[in-house]
Amino acid sequence: MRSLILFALLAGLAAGAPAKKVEYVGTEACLVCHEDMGKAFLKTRHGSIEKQRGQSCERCHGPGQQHGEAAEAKFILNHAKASPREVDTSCLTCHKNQATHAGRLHGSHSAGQVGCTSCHSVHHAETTPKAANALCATCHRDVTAQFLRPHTHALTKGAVQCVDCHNPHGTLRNAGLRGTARTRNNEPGCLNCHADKRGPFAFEHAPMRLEGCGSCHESHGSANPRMLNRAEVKNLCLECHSNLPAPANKTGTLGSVATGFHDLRLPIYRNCTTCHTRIHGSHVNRDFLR
Amino acid sequence: MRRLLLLAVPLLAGGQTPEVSADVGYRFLPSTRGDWRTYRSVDNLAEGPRLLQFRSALLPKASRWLDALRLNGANWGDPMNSVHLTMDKAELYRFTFSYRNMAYFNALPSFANPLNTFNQRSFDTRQRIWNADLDLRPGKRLQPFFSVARQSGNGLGVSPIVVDENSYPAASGIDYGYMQYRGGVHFNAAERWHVTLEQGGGRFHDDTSLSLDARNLGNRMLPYLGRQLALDKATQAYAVTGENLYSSAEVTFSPWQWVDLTGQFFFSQPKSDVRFNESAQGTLIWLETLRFVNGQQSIISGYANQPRTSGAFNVEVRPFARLRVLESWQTERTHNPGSVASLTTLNRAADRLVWNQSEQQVQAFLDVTKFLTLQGGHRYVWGHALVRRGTLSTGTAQEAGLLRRHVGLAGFVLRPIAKLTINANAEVGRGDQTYFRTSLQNYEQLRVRARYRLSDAWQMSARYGRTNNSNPTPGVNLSFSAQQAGASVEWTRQAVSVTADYTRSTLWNDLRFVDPVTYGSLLSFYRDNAHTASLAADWRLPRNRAVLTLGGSLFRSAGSRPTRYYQPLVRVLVPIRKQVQFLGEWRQVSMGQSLYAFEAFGVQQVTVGFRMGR
Repeated sequence: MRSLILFALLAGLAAGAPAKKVEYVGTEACLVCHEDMGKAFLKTRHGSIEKQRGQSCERCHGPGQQHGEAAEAKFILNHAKASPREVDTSCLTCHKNQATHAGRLHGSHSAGQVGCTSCHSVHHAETTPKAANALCATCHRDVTAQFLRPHTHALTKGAVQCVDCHNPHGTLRNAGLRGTARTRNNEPGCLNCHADKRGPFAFEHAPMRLEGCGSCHESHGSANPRMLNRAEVKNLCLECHSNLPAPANKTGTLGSVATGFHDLRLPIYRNCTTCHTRIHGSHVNRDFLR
Repeated sequence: MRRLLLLAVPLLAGGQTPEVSADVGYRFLPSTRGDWRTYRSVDNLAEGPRLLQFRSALLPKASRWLDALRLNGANWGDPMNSVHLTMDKAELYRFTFSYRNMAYFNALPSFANPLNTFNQRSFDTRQRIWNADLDLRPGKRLQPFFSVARQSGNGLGVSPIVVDENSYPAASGIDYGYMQYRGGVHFNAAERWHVTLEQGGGRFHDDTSLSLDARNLGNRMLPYLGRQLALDKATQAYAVTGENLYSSAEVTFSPWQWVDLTGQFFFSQPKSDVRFNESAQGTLIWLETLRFVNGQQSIISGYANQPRTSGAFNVEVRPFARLRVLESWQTERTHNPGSVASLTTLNRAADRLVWNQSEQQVQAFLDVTKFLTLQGGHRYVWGHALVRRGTLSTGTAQEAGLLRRHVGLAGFVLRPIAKLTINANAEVGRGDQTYFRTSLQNYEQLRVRARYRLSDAWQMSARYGRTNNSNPTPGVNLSFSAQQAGASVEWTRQAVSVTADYTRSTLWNDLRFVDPVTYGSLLSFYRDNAHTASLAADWRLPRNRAVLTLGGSLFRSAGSRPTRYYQPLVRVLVPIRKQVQFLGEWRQVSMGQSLYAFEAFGVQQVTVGFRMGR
């Protein structure tokens, strides 16, 4: 409620912003001085979309009349020198409604002042999947390091891209610290490839739905062959499935259920998923045994 | 078909010659030592001819149907390969197609029974993923779009059949597929209104099966009620079919230059129908009567349904040039009722998962000066879940989980000089209720990154990240901490370029749990202290423009699962003719884990070939 009042106040203060006068000169006028740049640009997807309109340069850089007459850089928007917010505003004029871009202003890149042109080279052709991964790695080297562990998704082999799981443009819905990106049909992003885990199951394993795959798996890379968050499976399971009754009653913590009378000294009970084979959810058995 | 292609290519190309380049070669494995199954589970590159990568582009100067066609692919002949195609014509259409074929081999031991050398959970499967997207009239006010995608997996594996008090490794056949389709329309009105309406659906099938033909004593080494349990013959078959229909709407609205409104709504309703059939013969125990039997038959039909509604609403206000305020709210409501009926025992069972979660966040960004941007905010997350209670737990059939968490957000972006950027953000969360014992409750997260461009040739970056999480609830006492620090250097000159990176990461987690037999308190502890480094050094020889690359990566960790994993690499690229280069690569992949010494391996890979094209 307090935030809504804050918005109302800010909205009142901001009313009445003056409109800017726009004077366009057309692409041909731009090419008189920027011929090389213009030729390269017209080969790109942006160039091909805009070249029939005759304002391909000014659609992004703004009206060029004053810039052309004075021949001074300060009269035109230069994305390389503009603030990330100015760059965002310029690009989102057209791209705001794309499903992949609608959350741009709410994404972590926007919050971290990473403008569109930090990753996208509008004047050049498209990148290949490997090049796209390398692009992410220029800033996210900590994540790249995790992919140098033995058990990872096949990112370094070029079969998987960072953008298969992450939407670098941000999402309208905050994915949260342990959340996963969502697919177009509103499912956890991991199910894009792991369709056999999608369910719905008659007997769901609640953490998969409530906290996502990351509650058990380290998706970027692990020393564990199943990319688990723990060295051994039993620790991962027993940390939640402990026989402690108190948390369930007092704080609403789930999973504090009895694990039966499994004797952890016996090998058969040390690897839970050897019997609980359908741990992601079962269609027929409430204990995930089949 | 061939004649059609011959006619189509010049029509599309508009007389333009396509640009094509390809890397072809042959990979040898001159030295392989250690455990081959682990190598296949980790790297899996084998000998043979390879189309390592190819790129082609067609940019016709005058074609009615095509502005650009780009076709890229990689790793054909290897276990993981891909191809991507894009075609577009301004204001008419844009078409993209991608295909990936990924082998998944994992045969690392599961240790359920150390005397059983036959692995218990193994996969030798292939995942095939393709999608085709067609956007019509891009850039126009009304833009219809269509998409078809398919993801499937099939292959062989090993998985246990669980029959009463024992589990028996059996051969499995894996076969599933999910076909998705969607269509919709984008409306763009005067760059102020954008609306996207979308309708989609999908069909799913999973026909995974297990079979066992020879007598197997299973993982239980001790007799049960004086007799050794055994399975002589067994089959288990699933026939799962599913469908999903979903609708979504997305609206963005900028009534004035200083305000943006966005909203999103989703509704989906995936469903599953299951037929399950299991038959087993051997020395088995019927637990309900504690009688030994020679055979069991189980036929089960099941159903699950998951209506899911979610929505989000966001406002961004820019009252002054230097201030930006974001308010966002989102909610998700999911119900998952399911039921199964056994046609052999006439038993019925039902389950229901209910999950409602919402989140509200306000965040402000202030450009204090041209060099400093501050951000701060607050997030509140709350939710409620109903989950079935454990088999042996007492009480009602379901237990309730609650989530209440307040999170403070802060950060800054500092550019004291044009060449230096420092970016920091922090979250401090405090919760009194959380879904799981390992969930985030009282946590702090800090992330700092700095980049400094010393000159056109030198660039350096450093980073530090730390996450602490604790749950002081009596009986839980979770303590988790992860820290990562690293630095990288890039040096680029005309003839030489070097990129080096080093990361030091530590992770520790302590959580007590109750031993299910003695009811004593045990500690689950996890430690991981790792060093990760990578290097790529390119040297361009001045005379013949050959390129020599040295580098690779190393990973060493100590703690709960000590691991070493090295991948040194040498690569040469030597021009032979104007459009032909020789390429050669030597790479070694070696891994070892001291607690699982028998899994160690070391494999050398040598690839020779040619890069052709322009």
